[in-house]
Amino acid sequence: MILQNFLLRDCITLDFEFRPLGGREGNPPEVICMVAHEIGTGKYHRIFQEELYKLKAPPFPIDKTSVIVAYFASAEMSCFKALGWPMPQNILDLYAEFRNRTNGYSYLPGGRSLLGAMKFFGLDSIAPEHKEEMRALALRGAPYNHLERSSLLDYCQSDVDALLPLVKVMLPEIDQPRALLRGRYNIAIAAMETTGTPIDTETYTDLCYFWDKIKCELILEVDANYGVYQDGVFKSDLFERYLEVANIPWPRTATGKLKLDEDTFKDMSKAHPILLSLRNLRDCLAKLRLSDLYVGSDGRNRCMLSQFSSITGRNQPSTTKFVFGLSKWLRGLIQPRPGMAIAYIDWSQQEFGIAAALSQDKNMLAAYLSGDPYLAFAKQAGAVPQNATKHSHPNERNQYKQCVLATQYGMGAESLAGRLGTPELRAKQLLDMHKKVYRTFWDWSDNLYNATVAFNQVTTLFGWQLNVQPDLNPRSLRNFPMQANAAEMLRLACILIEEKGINICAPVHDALLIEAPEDQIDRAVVVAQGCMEEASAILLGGFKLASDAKIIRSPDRFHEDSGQIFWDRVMSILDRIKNNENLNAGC
Amino acid sequence: MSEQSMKQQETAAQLNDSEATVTKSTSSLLSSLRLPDTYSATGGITQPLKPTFGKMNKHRFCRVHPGVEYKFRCLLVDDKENGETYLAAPSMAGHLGSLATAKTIRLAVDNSGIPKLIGEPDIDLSARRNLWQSSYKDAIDQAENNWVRVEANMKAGQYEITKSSNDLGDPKWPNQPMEELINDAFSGRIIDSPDHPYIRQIQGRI
Repeated sequence: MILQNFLLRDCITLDFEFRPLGGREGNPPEVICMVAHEIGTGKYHRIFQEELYKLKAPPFPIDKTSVIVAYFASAEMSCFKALGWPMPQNILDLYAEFRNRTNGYSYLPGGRSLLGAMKFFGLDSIAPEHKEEMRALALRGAPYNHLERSSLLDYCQSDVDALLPLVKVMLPEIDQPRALLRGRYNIAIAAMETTGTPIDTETYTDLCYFWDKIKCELILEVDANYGVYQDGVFKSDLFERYLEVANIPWPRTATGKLKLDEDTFKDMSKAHPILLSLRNLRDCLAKLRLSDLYVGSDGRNRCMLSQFSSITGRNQPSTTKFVFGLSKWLRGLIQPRPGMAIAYIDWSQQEFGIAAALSQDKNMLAAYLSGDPYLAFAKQAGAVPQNATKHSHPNERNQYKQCVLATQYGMGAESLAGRLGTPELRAKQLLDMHKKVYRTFWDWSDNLYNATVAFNQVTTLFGWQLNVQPDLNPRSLRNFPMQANAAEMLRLACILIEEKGINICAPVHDALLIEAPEDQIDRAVVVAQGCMEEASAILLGGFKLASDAKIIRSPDRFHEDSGQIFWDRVMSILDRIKNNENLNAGC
Repeated sequence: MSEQSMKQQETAAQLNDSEATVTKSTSSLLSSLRLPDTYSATGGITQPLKPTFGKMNKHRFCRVHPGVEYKFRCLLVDDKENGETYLAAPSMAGHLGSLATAKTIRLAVDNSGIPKLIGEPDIDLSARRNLWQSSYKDAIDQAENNWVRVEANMKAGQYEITKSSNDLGDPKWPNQPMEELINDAFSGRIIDSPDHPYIRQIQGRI
């Protein structure tokens, strides 16, 4: 699969022009044209739409002797899929490599695009205005006259030609085997972007259509318990009065005003569940732009997954176009088609497991292997008896769980105290206990921090690197090996799962949503979980992380525990509004 | 078993075999791409904390090192006016008179790993009983084997000793020798000459 060491003459630069099928966002791509340049022979392939769809395979080698070079190669791989072509053996994605080379830089003169990469290396490129014009032409769709075809092919070739100097300048510094592994991930991304996530389009359409009315009703209904909205607007003075009556201490800003940001509401609603509905309401009113969600004509949510876009190398899909980017309650829109099932699989306490394996902290390893690290931590700290269970000591377990999560998020005592609803001293005691019980981990973390700031660079076990800038938060830096290696683990798992022919709908942070016919879902889950375990063992030198799976069969919906109540509330309002509309229509 | 179901089983077995082949080769390839773990490479050596001299932390449980190598007999001078404690050489006893007290310096550490040097008083059995001194000595004795918290009880005129009811684990002793710890704690506060400003001050010399 992966050519260990390749030369420039082995490379074939490639670009496609495409648009979403029928011009509708959320649909798979409709290929318009392709240009490929075999660097070794100098041969160009300029092929337009009709001819491309007639080909059963690309007109250039894609076996182990060649390397396909593209910029943001998942798009090219999606076009391969749309054309029904076999996938190449070796892919070099210069976008991923440019991101890796510049990861952590606070400023890039031309951004992360192909033009930006060219500018970064001081290479000439085509004018951006011309690019916009050609993109618009591609998005317009067929029919294209002779001149337009020629312009589109020329434009496509200009990107292909730009790749040659770029690959020339980048190749000497590229860590080839791991670059090809990152390239390989583009095939899995293309598969996910093609599969997409099944959406209940009828409910989605209703929600979009009636959203303004639903919002008014929601405010009336939810605010009946709080009295903090006036004419549909949240009033902080009313909220302050509510907090006094409810006897809830609330964090304030330096100027003494109530902190009303999202994180504060999130933490406080965890400490005071009575506030959860209000938090969901605010979240939903502030963030929801339902009509931006990309839903294809077959009712599937497809959008760019934006691989390698975050500092940790994680995917970073749009928070408005991607269904998992919306408020959690809206995951209720995800519903398998009749006869189908979906499964949500995530690694159990992945970050804790990675930290344990990398630091080789014996207490941490033992806690992970116990199956319930939070309770194990409470036992190791001597806070609960050795025979305690999560049923016998739920409060203690929760405190120690929040403490573990706080250390992972880099949270201080004040925030942890807010989340736990305890005095700050208690939070300090818990954090101190973490440092004491997991002393080997903290020594490892201190050492890692010192090494990182000494060399201003830190790298994952598969070569994703971070250039450390002076303004980088030290807590983020300490957490980088866990977060970025978790991203590596997900990429390895996606590659393994995709090779097994399992349909992945979407990656969800460190989890995956897969899909299979109802009678095959159990087996698909076993296979996917096996791949995820394998990926963890490959990354962590044999240490295997377990995973949890939740299967949803048609007609059930995907619900997050914390989101279902709000979903049910919105659905009952929607039903009421639709019934009233029907009654009025009847009159 | 029908011919069809046998064929299905055969196909499934073949599928499993080919899956296993794919995974094995892919897995071994992926494993070969893993870089060596350099996270544990030494990034720096944290220097040990330097101790201060004083009382045991009243908010924390403490332990006192039982070893003779961490006991140091000396003269201490408590300059209450300036809030300083001096370590005096034995030859300075004549210059300091009753202002110097013979004590044994001991190494203590609290359960967050902060080291401290403390002064263990000499108990004069012939003198009137001093509850402050005897209770503090008692606390030090107990702290050799147990985690204790020591706090002054002004009404009772003595130190109150609380023994931890939890196992707080082994104390994290500093690894410097006692001489180094004492030099760190009393840096610039050692009286070893009659011309030391403190001796000049008590003798009315400018």
